[in-house]
Amino acid sequence: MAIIELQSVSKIYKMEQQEVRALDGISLTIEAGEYLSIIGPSGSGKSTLMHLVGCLDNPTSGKIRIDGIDVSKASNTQLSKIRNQKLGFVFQSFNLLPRLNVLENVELPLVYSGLHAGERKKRALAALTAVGLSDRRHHRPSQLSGGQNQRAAIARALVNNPKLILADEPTGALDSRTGENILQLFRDLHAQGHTVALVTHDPKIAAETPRSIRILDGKIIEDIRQTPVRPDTKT
Amino acid sequence: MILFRGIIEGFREIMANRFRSIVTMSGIIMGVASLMIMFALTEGMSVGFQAGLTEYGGLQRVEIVNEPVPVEEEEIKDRSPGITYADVLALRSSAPLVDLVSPELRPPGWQVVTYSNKQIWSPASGVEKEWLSVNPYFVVEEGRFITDFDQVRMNRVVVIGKRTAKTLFKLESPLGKTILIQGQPFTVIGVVDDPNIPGRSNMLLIPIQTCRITLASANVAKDGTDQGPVTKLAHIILRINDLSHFQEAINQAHSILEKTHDNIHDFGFQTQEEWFEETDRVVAATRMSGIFIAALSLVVGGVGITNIMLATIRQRIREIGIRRAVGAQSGDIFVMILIEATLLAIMGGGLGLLAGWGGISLLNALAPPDDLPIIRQWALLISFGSAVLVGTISGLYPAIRAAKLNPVEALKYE
Repeated sequence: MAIIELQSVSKIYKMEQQEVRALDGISLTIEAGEYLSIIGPSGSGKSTLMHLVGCLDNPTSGKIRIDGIDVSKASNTQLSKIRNQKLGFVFQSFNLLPRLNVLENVELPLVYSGLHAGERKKRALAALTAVGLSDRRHHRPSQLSGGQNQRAAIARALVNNPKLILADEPTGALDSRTGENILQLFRDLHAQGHTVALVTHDPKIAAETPRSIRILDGKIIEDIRQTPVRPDTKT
Repeated sequence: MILFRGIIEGFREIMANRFRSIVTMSGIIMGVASLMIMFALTEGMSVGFQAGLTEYGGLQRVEIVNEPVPVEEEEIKDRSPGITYADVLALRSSAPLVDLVSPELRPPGWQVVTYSNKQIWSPASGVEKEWLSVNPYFVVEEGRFITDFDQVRMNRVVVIGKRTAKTLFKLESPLGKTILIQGQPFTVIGVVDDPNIPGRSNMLLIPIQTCRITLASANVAKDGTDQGPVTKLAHIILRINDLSHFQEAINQAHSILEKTHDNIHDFGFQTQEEWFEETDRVVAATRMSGIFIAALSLVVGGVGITNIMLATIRQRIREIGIRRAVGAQSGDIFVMILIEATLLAIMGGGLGLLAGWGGISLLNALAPPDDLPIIRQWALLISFGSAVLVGTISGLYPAIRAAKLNPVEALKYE
């Protein structure tokens, strides 16, 4: 079943007199349970694509369906709701709130879905256990390592049981060993049936995923399905 | 739920920036403190004024005074009797709405008073037992006051003021002693004094009929001609207990006096209402200027909150982006900022009440004003409430700004 459907989606920014076509007629379908990467150099439009798929923005033209719902013309309020219930974000710089402890950070999406405290805590703990961080739940982000921060951020993305986890350069701020651990976590999540999309400029990471979509100048130039190169099978 | 969590998070945010928060609150603290101190001072003033008024007989006290005959009655001026004892009798018998009628006859000039080898000059009044009821600030310190029996028997007795008693008798008890007033003997039956200004009373109070035939029996002018006995009373004091029928009572007394005075309007009514209104005006004016100053300080405090909240938002654009990304509505962001601003104001308001209380205590300790400041519950509520209101209003603009932030831009912000 298609979770994400894009039909000739364009995003045009107007900068003074100049039009910038960040995305130019992109069509794309992501099925449930897929593990894919969106790869392209900076300025290729991959961030814009992530913002549109992530319901942070509306397209200039074209249709976007998330879980069967047309969101191309959705209001601010509807987009917030979809982000909250159907999407999970993982960022390069973790983006945890420094004043909240790990548990509270993970609970945050549930706060905005209006869940009561008991249920919030239960689900946040489950998500933290899934990323192996339940024993650090009372720590502040500043007391944890980068890898632990990213695990907490992944737990936050998982906590609402989203249709799609969108990870924007999730290993970009980590050393290679920790980055590998995080990628392993994504593979595990994929194995458990989650749909994961990695946005990256790194071909090595793109080679990890069974599907890789290459973007350049706002267009998809390559959409390949491959046997992923696993570090454990490399040698 | 979100509200509760918002309050907790807002509180944490404020405590994380303790110093900045206190500086932000300072305007609110001062505003609330000055509001509270001003309310306490004016309330003390108002209560003090009213206590003074009540002591003087309150609104119930009405004075009937002699007034010059109006111009349009000029041709019947000669028949003007002035206020006389006949008026007292008429009022007592025909004005049921008037509870007490107290006349006062003043013999001309000051009287020579002698006892053994001491001599003083003192004013004298012919009064009745009602005098004590319409001058409630006087108390009988020794002996007794004038009674009806003294009037009927025309007893030659006198009640003297505390100062007169001290001057004439020193440590001796004045009761039962005979003093000479204008050479005529009177027996001292009592001493009165005003406890508010102790030892300053120098009057001689004599039963009115006795006074009429002794001290007021002749009115000798400067050139030596005797103008005959004094018949005009200095004034009549009325007491009207039922204030709900106050105006009717005055009208009643007025129409009786018109009869006894043959329609010559040589009398007037003086009520305490004007005094009452005047003190109200003074209190209101003081209060208004106080409110103005306090409001200025509150507005300054509010601008401070707006300013700091705008700065906070700039620092927290990324946080707002993250919250939006995980599903916060722009309304949630609006509420978050508003809660923080309101919390700042609530805490500032609380500290302001403490500061106000401290200020009042300090004032009482260092320079106690005549009327002690009075802290009322409503004053606390208004002071605190206006701080919270100012805080919430100050948070509105920053909250709108924060809510309008574009999630994509906010997330990109470094």
